Amino acid sequence: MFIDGRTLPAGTVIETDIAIIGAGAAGITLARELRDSGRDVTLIESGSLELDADTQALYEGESGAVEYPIAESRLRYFGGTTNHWGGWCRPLLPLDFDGRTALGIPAWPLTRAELEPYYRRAQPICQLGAFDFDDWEPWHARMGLTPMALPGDELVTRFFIYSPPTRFGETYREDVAKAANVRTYLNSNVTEILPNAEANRIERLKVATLGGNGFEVRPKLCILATGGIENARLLLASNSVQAAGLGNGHDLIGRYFMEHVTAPGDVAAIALADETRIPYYYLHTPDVDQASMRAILMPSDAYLKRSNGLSISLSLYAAHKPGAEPKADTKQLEPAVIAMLRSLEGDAKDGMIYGVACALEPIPSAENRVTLTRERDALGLPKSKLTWRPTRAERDSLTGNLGALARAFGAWGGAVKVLLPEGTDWADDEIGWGNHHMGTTRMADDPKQGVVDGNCRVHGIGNLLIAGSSVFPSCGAVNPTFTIVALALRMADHIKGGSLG
Amino acid sequence: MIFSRRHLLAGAAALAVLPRHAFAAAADEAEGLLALLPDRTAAAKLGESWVQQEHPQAQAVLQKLRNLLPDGNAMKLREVIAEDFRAGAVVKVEGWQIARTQAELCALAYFATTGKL
Repeated sequence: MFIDGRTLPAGTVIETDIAIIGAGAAGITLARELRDSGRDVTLIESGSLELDADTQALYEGESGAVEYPIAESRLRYFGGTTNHWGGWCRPLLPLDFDGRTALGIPAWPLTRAELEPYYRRAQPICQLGAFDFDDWEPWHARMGLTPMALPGDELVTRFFIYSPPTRFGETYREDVAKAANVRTYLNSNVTEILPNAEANRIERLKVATLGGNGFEVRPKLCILATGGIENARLLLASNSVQAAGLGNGHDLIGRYFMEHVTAPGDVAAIALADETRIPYYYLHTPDVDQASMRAILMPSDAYLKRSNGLSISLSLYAAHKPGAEPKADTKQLEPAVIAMLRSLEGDAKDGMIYGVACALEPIPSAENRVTLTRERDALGLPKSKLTWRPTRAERDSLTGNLGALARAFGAWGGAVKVLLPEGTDWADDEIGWGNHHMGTTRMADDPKQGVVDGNCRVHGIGNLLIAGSSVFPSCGAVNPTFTIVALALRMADHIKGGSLG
Repeated sequence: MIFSRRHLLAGAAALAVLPRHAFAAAADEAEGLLALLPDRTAAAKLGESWVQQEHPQAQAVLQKLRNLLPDGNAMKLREVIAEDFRAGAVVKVEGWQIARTQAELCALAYFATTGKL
């Protein structure tokens, strides 16, 4: 059932077993999974079923370092940011869960093996085809695909499988609407999460609408699922009992914000004399089963361990013929490079220049953080300020990884030009991002290291859970939505099993 | 030893003649290697950039390539280049990361097309 919160009489009190704040990928997955749980579920969504400018404006905030599109990078209505996501899916790698101390990347309190069954259940939810992200054999058997035989052991081919992309708000609207035990309150904004005097249990949620009325939700269990920036914002703003913010006894909430570093343009160019050598599934996203796929290049585990480097995903596309579209002098040598490479091919193909785009694993840094400003939004909630800037170490790792790309393609008969200047720190116009907001309420067994425990329960607050990418202690080099859904499924199982109250 | 005017003239004549012979021989030797480059004029531009950057000696480049690729064989070249990348023998020419042997082959094309062998 959908209920417009603006129609509730002011002062209404809603008692519920489980309150879920936020109806994005995590919140909707949880609501669907809890349909037959026998628990009364209240799903509270700030927006309505369509985008509304005034509601979206509640996301507006400040950038403290890199000028970041803090409002535009997410969507505040039923379905959340899945209303505009690109659909890139693949699970984190086992190595991503292990942590790498020398880089300051913490381990997760759970392993890939523990999350594996939930990834497999997330597969149909995200409307993906087969669960074949790393293994060539199924692709070869189905479609005759074979990998590029790049020499060396530094780079390997892996796959992204693309969701259509699933718009959770549209695709699962009916499921949520028809669930007898789920009531969804639209146009309803939680403005404070109120605990008891000891701050070890959540008692009430203050809810306000832009229409001016307010009501209250009293949950036995509360799940915060409003995204990587908003989760931190709401906890920091919930300071009636704990002045530093709810669950913020160790000054961790908002810190360790992570983003995948990309670049506004290509990070490298690859020249090949034979334009038929890179298979089309590295350059395009062909349809397979219900979805589409793309082969990408990533560093091997062995290389990452050897180089002490960060993970990266490298995607290729055919950019232009050699020397075409010359910009200043940057492409003057392309025909010469191709002429040189023909010494290895021995035929008269035209050659091709390929562009390389990347998503780089970030190093979690306490200085990259979400804080509150003095300015308030239309509901009186402090606005968020996002201070994020990738580090020199990340840049150095990126250029190191591009060196591996150069070695692999060079030994394969190609040539690589790194387009990012080496030996310098980031210039503002070199920094791109994936609109992935992660890490601000990160997961750790030790309350001094993380906001939530391995079950995504806030340390010290028995009935407050956090869902979404804000709990990621690290994030590899892959898009977060698939992992968000897998973690939500795991949380739902734990709730239904009674282990989370 | 006292040099007569005749000795000096003969020596000067020899100096004038011998390099021409040497140049012709070097050009011949280079030809087998340059046959690997279907478009040596284009490849020479890359060679020119690298020569201006590293200032290698033409004869040294020729000698090294002749030793590495005595038959001017493309398959052998592929192996040599792969080995360069494995061994870190990589140079950057206007940002392009190429095997040192590739740079030298292009340099040879540059020396040959500009009469500097």
